[in-house]
Amino acid sequence: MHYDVGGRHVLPPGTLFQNGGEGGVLESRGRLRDKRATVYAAFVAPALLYTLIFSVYPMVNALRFSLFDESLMRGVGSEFVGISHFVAVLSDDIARMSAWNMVVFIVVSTVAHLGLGVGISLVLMSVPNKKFRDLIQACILIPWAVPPVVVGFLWRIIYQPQFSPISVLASTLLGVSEISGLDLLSRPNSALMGVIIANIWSVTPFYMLMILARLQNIPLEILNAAAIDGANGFQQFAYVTLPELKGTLGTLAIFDIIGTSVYFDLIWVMTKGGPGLSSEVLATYIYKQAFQKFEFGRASAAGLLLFVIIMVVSSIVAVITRED
Amino acid sequence: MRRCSLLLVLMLMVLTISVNAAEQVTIVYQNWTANEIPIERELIREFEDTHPGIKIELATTPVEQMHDKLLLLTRAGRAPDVMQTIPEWIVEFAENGVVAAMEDLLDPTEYEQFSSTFIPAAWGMAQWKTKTYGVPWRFGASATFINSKLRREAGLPVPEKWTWDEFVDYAAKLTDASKGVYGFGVPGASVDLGSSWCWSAFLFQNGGRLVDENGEVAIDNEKAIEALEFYVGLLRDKQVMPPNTTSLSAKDITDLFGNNKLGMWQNGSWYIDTMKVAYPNLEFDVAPLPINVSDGSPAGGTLLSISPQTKNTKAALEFVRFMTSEEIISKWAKSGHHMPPVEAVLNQPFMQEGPMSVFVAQAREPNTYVIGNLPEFTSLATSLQVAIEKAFAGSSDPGQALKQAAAEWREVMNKYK
Repeated sequence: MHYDVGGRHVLPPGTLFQNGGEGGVLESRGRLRDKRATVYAAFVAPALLYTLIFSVYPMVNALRFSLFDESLMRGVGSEFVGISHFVAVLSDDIARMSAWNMVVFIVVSTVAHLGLGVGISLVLMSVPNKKFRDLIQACILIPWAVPPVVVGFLWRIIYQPQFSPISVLASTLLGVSEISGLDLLSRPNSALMGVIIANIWSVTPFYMLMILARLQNIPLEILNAAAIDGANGFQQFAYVTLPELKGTLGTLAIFDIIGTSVYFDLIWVMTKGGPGLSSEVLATYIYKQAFQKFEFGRASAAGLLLFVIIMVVSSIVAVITRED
Repeated sequence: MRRCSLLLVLMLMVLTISVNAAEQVTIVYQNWTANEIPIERELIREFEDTHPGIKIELATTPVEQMHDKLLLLTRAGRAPDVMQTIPEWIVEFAENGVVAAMEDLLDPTEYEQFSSTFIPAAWGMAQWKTKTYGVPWRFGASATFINSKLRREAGLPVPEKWTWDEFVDYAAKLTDASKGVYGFGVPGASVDLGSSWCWSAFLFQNGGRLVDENGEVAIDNEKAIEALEFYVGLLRDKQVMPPNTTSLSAKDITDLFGNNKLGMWQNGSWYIDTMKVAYPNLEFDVAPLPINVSDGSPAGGTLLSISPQTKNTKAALEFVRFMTSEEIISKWAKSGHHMPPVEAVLNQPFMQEGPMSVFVAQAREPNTYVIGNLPEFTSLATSLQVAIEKAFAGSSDPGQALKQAAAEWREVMNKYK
């Protein structure tokens, strides 16, 4: 029976505390919860299965490989060696140098990606004509659409003074036969930077797009209020725009750190870690251990150490950039 | 009566089919020769025509994936019967049961007869611990390619025999750095691992070896260090090599050579066709490698190996014998500038004229050594490549760089003792 109270339908007193029987509210809510849980589980199950098969299983396997003397040559499931692979990697000069190169790669790339991303976004925001702005944005996105392997081959050509389009332009416009200093990849002290530049060219457009989306959602009233209070352009950026961007930049920084730390294809195509291992990073070191020396145990140990480094660094960045 | 006749015909048909099926053997042949697949398909058809009971199933894989594919197929118990291999893989494959020893497949008399048809250096490509794990299919040594246009402009003849000093002088005369033209180039980039092949020529010419007669690593002895000092000096002191040598791949070298920006480079006869396809109007000459203490050239090639998993050993051997017979190798060698490993074909008139005659003579020199049939050769070549790059870049002196590489070599070689 329903009571109308002020036009509202209400349930008779005591209904909420009825157990069992038809029409019990708790039981209805419980059955609804069960039904919803089943539906949620059904939607989540494929993604969970995918994660279990393609993420969790390989990681567990990698942990197993890292504790055994695993070699493709000697077969799977050989001698248990404990943490000796981890010790070997940590005491390997080449592994330590690769880790340092990786850190340099990450720091320079991330700062450039986000810094240039912010700069280009701000410039785009200042273009009054929307169609023109969209056109420039589309052009800026082109490098991001090029696969990393192709980027690697393109930039190898750019860095070859004999074949570089820069040399061709210089020769045509300035009558210069070759530009020295262009061959970044042939020198140990510049090879890594040569790869980083190619990476910045290729990946910055993506971060520009993400930052631009956030910038376009900053309420104009805040910026207008700052202007009314006498803030100049720089002050508006420093005290209004940047704090608004903090969370987005933090998230993007974490993505970038994770993505750059496992970056392989560009380096492999451009230098394979040379000359003289000067551009070797952990990803190429791990590849060589696994597929040139066939030492899966040591490669897995290095991979797990890389995972730990990424998690620690990402967590620190997340804490620093969290929004209050 | 009619029913009996029909039954008899049906039984005869079933019997015929099953007899044919029993007689028909299929051999899986795994190869990678992309450019030569048309000629190889013809040769396979010829084999099938002359061997009606044997069918060849051709499985082609890009060379970059071939090594891992063969290893994984063997682990899975699905190895091809016959496979194309290279000396660089033979030790790993022999140690891991990927390839069978010819001594185990042939009786001693057959083995002697078969092996004697090949050049000794070529037969040595597949040897490991006194056994032979493949049959030479292609073989070659290096020679010097010289850009004819640049040579004529410099007023230089094609050398027939030259020393290291004459070689340097020749390269200097071809060099005009103001125009970006250099006398000599090597594929010095890590992307190729070409440095180790090119440098080993100078090592052998200086009386050195990669591994000595006792199987001990020899890349850090005095002769090796001298050879590397000379090699690096071509860039750093004599400046007859492009300044960005450590970023040049074999393709870049071919392009520089084809665009008349490079006077000379060294490699095998297989590059003749590559250059002719890329630069049809390019004119070039072929000269022997220079000499120092002795002659010397690296050598390598490809092999046909048989899997120990094959269930058709006899048919696989038939196929390998056919493909490496004098007649077939001769046909294949004439189709392109390929060096045959068979003694009788090397003596044929078409191998004694033109550029191939230089490669033939080089292959027969006493100090032409196969490089590659060492354990984990890719890893060894990488260590050597790193040492050479460091020496080129000046970040390490040649002696130090080679000692570091030698330590890594010994670590690998000791695993196989």
